[in-house]
Amino acid sequence: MKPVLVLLGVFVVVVFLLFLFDGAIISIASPLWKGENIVATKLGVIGNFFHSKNFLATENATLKERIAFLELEKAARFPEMGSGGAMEEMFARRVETGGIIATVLARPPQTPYDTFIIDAGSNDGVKEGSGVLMSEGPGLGTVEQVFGSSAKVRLYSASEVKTAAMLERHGISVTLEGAGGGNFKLVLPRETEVEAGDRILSADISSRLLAVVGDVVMKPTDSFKEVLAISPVNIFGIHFVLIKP
Amino acid sequence: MINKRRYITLAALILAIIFLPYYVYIPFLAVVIVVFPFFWEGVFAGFLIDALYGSEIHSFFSIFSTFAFFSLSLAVIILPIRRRIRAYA
Repeated sequence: MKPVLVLLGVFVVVVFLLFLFDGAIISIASPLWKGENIVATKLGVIGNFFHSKNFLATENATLKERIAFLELEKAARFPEMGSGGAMEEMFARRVETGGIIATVLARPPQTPYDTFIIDAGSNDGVKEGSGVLMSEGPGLGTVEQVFGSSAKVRLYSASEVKTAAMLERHGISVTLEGAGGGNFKLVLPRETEVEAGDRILSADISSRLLAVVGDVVMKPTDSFKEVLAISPVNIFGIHFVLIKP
Repeated sequence: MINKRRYITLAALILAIIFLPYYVYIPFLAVVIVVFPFFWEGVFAGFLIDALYGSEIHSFFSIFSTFAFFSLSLAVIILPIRRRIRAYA
């Protein structure tokens, strides 16, 4: 009985620590993550020098990634709106430009939940609830907790996170539910036409690309169909994000 | 000797939590709680995962979905089991 009480005591202490020193622990770990990023980059450069074949393969992968980003940027552009947010300006809505660029210190699969730790915090003007997106356009999540020089970002794909969105094909409102690992699911009426590759956009005026339909699951007896969607970007390989106030 | 091994394992666990993917450090944490007798440090390791990567504790019930709680549960469950499977006199 005594060991169980000791364990419970430890747990109570831990919960109090979690309330009080959450930010401090991230501040302590941040330099370690930054160091890890630097070491990984340096080791990569040294390794490429000695392994020219690997270097070419890396360069090839980087270029492919760049092509994917450019395609993504093209896909994320809302065709009717043109560039520069002409439609927003027409309807006297303020066009948000700029933002804060941040490096991702920790990302899945290092984080068990779909969260990012970024190296920008309240000192850089980051606020709780700010939108986090790729510089190419697609939305990723929102800032959940802000510390001095770091912040925690909860991705839209995190489990149990529900996001108001719009299915581009018919312009119908849907609720995207995070399923972890950059995946989403949503439920639609059986009659709604949806195919793999359809885009799901954010419900706000910016209409940012949030997800792409990957698969549709429906039994003949069901009245609803379950749509499985995936994030348009690989959340496991993101290095920089943009924070919109 | 046992204590030394225990501290080295704890240090390795903390480093794994900071640098390695979750599919490495979560099974590692579970194994360590099972292998070492009365590994209360596992609750702190669970707390470290929650503090670094988890969400803020908004309500009383969100305490039950933390890694600290899972570690505590495993440590409590394993206590009587360890006592019963002890083979030597």
